[in-house]
Amino acid sequence: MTRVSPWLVALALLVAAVGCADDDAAEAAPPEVTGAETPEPAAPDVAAVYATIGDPGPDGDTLVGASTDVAERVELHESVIDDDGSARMVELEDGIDVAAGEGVVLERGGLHVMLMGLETELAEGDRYELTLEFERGGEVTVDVDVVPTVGGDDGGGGHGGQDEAHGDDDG
Amino acid sequence: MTARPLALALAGLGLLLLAGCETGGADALEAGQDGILGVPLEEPVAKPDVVLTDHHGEPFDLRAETDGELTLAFFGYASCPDICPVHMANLTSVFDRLPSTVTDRINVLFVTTDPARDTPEALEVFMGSFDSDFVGLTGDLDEIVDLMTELNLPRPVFEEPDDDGFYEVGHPAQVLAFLPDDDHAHYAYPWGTRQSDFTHDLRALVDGAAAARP
Repeated sequence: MTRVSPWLVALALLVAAVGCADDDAAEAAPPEVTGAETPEPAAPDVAAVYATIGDPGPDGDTLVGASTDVAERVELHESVIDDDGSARMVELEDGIDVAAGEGVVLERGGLHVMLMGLETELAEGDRYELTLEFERGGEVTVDVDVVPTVGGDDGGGGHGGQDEAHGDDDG
Repeated sequence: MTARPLALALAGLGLLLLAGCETGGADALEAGQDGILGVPLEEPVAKPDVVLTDHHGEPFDLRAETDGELTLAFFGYASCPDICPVHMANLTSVFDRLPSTVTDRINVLFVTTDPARDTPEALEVFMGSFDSDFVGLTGDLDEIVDLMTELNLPRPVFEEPDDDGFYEVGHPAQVLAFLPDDDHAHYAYPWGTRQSDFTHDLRALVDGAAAARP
């Protein structure tokens, strides 16, 4: 017969309690992600993903990474325009802030998920899975629709309003 | 008449949203005294005298090929997933809205800032997503940098390649418009220019600024 030390029991309870605390943190639900889309890529090796990330709740959250089977690598990027009128992309190594009570919009000419080294050809009408990883909310997998290259938001920046008045693009 | 206050309110809201856009969405363009929405350049710049290579691999003499025609030029690169294809997609939508009697007299040029990767073959793939009349242009990097300098554009900025050899390139965000009157660039269209604003100006400028004057 072995007698269990009360200290060991206390330690086990402590570990369990800490474990529970971790579980609680991970159980914060990931924010809702809607409208995930990729314009059919014009170049064969790179693509962008745009989406709306909903309110993460009162504590806020951070999108810290993403992954998908269709690309070798996935990065979080922001297009910025410098004072001299030069456009460039910045990799956001600290992630994308998802503001409490607001969420964040990934949009043309702004924040986006960038796919590099496409392993699958993405054509209009296709749909693929992208897993977004949030610091607090954990992972969520969304379907991304591949939409026409032409016919997105008017003007870019996502503020111009949709313009549906294009004919068939046979160009 | 009741629609008007609503439209104004919506326009105001749009302006507020634009103002809040920290990533370079341009403010709504305002027409100058000439009625043109494009941002006038402080000093018009002559079309550079340069021969590049088009996306079919043919030589393209910039002045000869676009002489006396409204010509839009954008400088970017094919491996750019965001701003470059969105600009070209917007211009394609603009071309879809205009009659061919107008678009037949307008040149749209995509000049690469990354000729090492953007061979004519690579540009042919990229340009295949946009209006079939648009022309992709490549050449020697030195030649392209000189061309951009001549046009008072920021020069391309090459980022360090990552482990896979992939790199990004900083490039001008705006589209330049050369007018038929004098083959000089007179207007710039910043990132975020609305399709309706482009459509307005292309209609107005296709016969030249003199013809466009109200």
